[in-house]
Amino acid sequence: MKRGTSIFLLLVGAWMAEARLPTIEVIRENVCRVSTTSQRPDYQTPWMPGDVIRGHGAGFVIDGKRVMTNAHVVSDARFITVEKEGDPVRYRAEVEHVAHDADLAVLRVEDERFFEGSAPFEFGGIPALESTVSVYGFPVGGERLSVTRGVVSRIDFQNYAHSAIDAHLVIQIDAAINPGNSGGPVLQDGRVVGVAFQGFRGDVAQNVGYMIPVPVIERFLTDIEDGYYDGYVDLGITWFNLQNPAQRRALGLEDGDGGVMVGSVASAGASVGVLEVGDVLLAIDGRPIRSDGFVELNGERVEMVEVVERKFKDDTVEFELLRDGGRKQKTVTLKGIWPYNIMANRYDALPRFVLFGGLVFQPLNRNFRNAYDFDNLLVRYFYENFVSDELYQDHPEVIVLSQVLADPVNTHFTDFTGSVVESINGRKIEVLEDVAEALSQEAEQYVIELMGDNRPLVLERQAVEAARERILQRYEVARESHLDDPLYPREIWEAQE
Amino acid sequence: MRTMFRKLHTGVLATVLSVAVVGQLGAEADRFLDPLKSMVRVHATTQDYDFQRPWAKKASATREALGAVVGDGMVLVTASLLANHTYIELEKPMTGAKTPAEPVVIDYEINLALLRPVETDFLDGFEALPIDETLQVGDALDFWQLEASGAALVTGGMVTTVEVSRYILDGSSFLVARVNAPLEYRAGSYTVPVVDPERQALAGMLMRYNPRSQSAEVIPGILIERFLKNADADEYIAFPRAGFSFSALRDPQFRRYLGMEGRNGGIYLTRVEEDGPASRAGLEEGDVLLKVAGHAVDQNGNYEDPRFGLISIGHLLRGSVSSGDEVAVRILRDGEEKEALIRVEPKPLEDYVSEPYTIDRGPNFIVVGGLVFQELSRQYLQEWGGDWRKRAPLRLVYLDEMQEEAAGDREKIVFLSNVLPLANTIGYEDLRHLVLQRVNGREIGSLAELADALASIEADFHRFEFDEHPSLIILDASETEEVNQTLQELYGLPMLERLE
Repeated sequence: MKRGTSIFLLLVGAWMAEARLPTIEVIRENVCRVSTTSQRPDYQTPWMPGDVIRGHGAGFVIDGKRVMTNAHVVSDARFITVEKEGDPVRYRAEVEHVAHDADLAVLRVEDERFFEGSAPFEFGGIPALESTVSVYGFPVGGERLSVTRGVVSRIDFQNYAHSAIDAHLVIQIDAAINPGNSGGPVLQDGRVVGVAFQGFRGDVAQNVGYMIPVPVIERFLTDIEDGYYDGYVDLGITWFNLQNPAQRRALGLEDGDGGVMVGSVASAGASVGVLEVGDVLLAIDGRPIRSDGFVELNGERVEMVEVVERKFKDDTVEFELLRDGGRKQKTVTLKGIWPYNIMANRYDALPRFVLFGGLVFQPLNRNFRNAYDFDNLLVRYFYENFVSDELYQDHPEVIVLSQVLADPVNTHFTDFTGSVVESINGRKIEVLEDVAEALSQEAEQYVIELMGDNRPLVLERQAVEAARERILQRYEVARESHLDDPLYPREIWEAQE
Repeated sequence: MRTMFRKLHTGVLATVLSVAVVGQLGAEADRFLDPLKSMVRVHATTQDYDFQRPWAKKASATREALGAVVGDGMVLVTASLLANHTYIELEKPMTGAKTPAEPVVIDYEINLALLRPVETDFLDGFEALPIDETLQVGDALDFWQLEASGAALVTGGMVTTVEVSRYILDGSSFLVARVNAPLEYRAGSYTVPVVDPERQALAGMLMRYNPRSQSAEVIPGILIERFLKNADADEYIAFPRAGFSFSALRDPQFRRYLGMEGRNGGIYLTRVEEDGPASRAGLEEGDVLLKVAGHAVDQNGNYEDPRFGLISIGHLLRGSVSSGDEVAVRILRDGEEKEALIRVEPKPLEDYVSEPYTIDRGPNFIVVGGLVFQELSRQYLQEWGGDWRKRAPLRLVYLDEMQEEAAGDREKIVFLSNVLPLANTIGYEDLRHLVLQRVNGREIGSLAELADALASIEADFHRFEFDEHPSLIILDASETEEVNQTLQELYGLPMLERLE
């Protein structure tokens, strides 16, 4: 009797799953190929628009006649088309919203006919470990839609390679995710449980693929509901696990208690003026914080940062904390922390620069560093410690003399490339606009002071003027500066003016 | 520079021919120095300190060299041979008789050292080499080596250039004679005496040899003579320095900016060390140095030496003067020329925030309850190998480079170098390379101050504050004594602190 029941249940289970599974026709109507022509700026020739690159990924139709894909599929895009398997038309698409910090994008397709026959997928939850999922996309090795199956092997916090600095929840599956899979849906029981986005490169692991799980996708979709993507928010602090018995006793904690200690508070972050170094954080939004920095969320033990992950700009977090032996309640109003971005890959923006007398001035950031690879100690120090030593306080931008376009006017300057600019004609250089302003002043000569034990660089106005056209023509420089798209908040510069 | 080099070369050939003739004549006229009577083998066993584990030493190694007998029964070798020596032995070339030796003076900056045998009569029958200071481009020199049998092996070479160049330590540049010589490999040639066969005297000591280019770098006699003179004093006097750095003045736009139209030469001072000799003489950053010791300084920082030709002014300020000498300089400031006297002096090691080298002495450290604290030093950073500037912890490299500015009021920079895992350091195991600011509320500017703060402040807990995350860690003060003992047994630490 018992045996009979269990078989019956299995049958029902199988039948129910069968009913939910979308047919291949439905999948063909919802999954599309995303072809992108992009232009990636070259930070060594910041006046040029960059190389034209063609690539493709996958996408899928979601609610509201939109197509979801990865940010990295459509970054720096100049022209995008989407194509469905059963339709010979290539539809033009445009990026409506992009989240470089979560590697997600939503595209809009003008031509309504693209959506004919599509029935947007619903989103599911986080699939269970060991359960099977299917990945759809257009990976290398053929032209047509491909399906791979994999088992959910790990659910973890991991880095997102697209921005290089962000880490969110990631689901690892044992199906290979190859170029062309990017942006494609991962389905389980007919619902989207993730977006395929990165694989594992190298010889040490095989058949490892990663997908962006639904909580991250839903956060993105909610964030853009107001028509603007604000991005992830941050507490702007570091915390130190309180596992040391003496430290616990000294801070007035019992052995079994939880609690983590605030180790640093960033001036540019959300917690400045609210939390202090040495505060013991006991609970976040009413959830007790364990001494290893974990909290319980929806029955799971997760890192404390997960609580913040689900929140949005101007949302608040309530802390219960211990300060000077007394318990306190503190509210942090969340926001992003901009100085981190100098270490993030930059997309959809042209490089900022100023060219003067053949000298190229550029702000320090990840793209810049990758392009030049300067090993100057000051440049390395400013880059690595920009956030931790709050170097952004004095230098919202670190301006580097990146190259010297050789000309008689600057023939003695070549040894100085890779140096950080301190001042020009006595004006302290804090952002690139300072460089532009200082060099636009009428002066007989321009005296550029560099950090470190360097002599000043002196450019005579007449010599620079005589060299100007010559340099522009010889090096085919289309423009002499680009001051848009700063990484630092404009208010800083404007407040100074 | 390049054309200069060629000119010198043609000059060289002519001189060599005449020297060879003179040498032969001399051979018949005078008696020759006998290498076997003026040279001994030197065996130096060394053991480096391990700055990553400051209580430990690394494996020992033995280097073998040839020392020149000089003065009243002493042996001259390069200093690098003796770095972190534990035992030194001299051996006679012919008989193989050995005796232990003690260093009399070691100067790592000039890379020379004097040894004295423990058996006072060991060098009886040996002949001290006179020092020849006249070495110049074109001279023919002999390199003295020994065959395994004990027979002498003499290889001739020729001085191709004399210039100021780096010795073995960062920032130590002195006169170097480059000698083209086809030296053969023989064991025990770490240091090799270089002799002028014409003058029958020690012309230099071999410092480095590149077998591919057959180029030998030789410490010239002029510096050996000064070293011996310095060593003659009751207390050794190190080679002096002026304490500034400079930039060349080739750029015409920059020269006009400095008001130097119609002038030749001069260098721009980019940095004048606070309270250094140049600073005490009134020199400032931004001054243009026109003359040193009566010699006009060219735009690259060289002067025309009567013997060596165009060489760096570094020689006038470091190599050819003794500590306490006054060197006259002329500078240009705001369009006006000024005279000044730089009283050149050495900078004692202890005056540096981050010691440029730590040799023959272990790193100072304190282990307290499993936390290991050290003072920042260049030697510590060099544990990361040849490209330590790239590989060592960036913040520490930065602090070493910017030590004067970074230290502020602190004498030294004390940092947590590592943590020995134990019950009372749970949660701290991964912390390292954190700069210590305060302990128990007291500012820490040296390990001595740390020891004092730990010993003199009565508290239940020791509170260590750092300048970055996690900013604060705490130990139970009542436990540290006991924990230190446990640590010493568990990890086999021979000592818990070194404060020398």
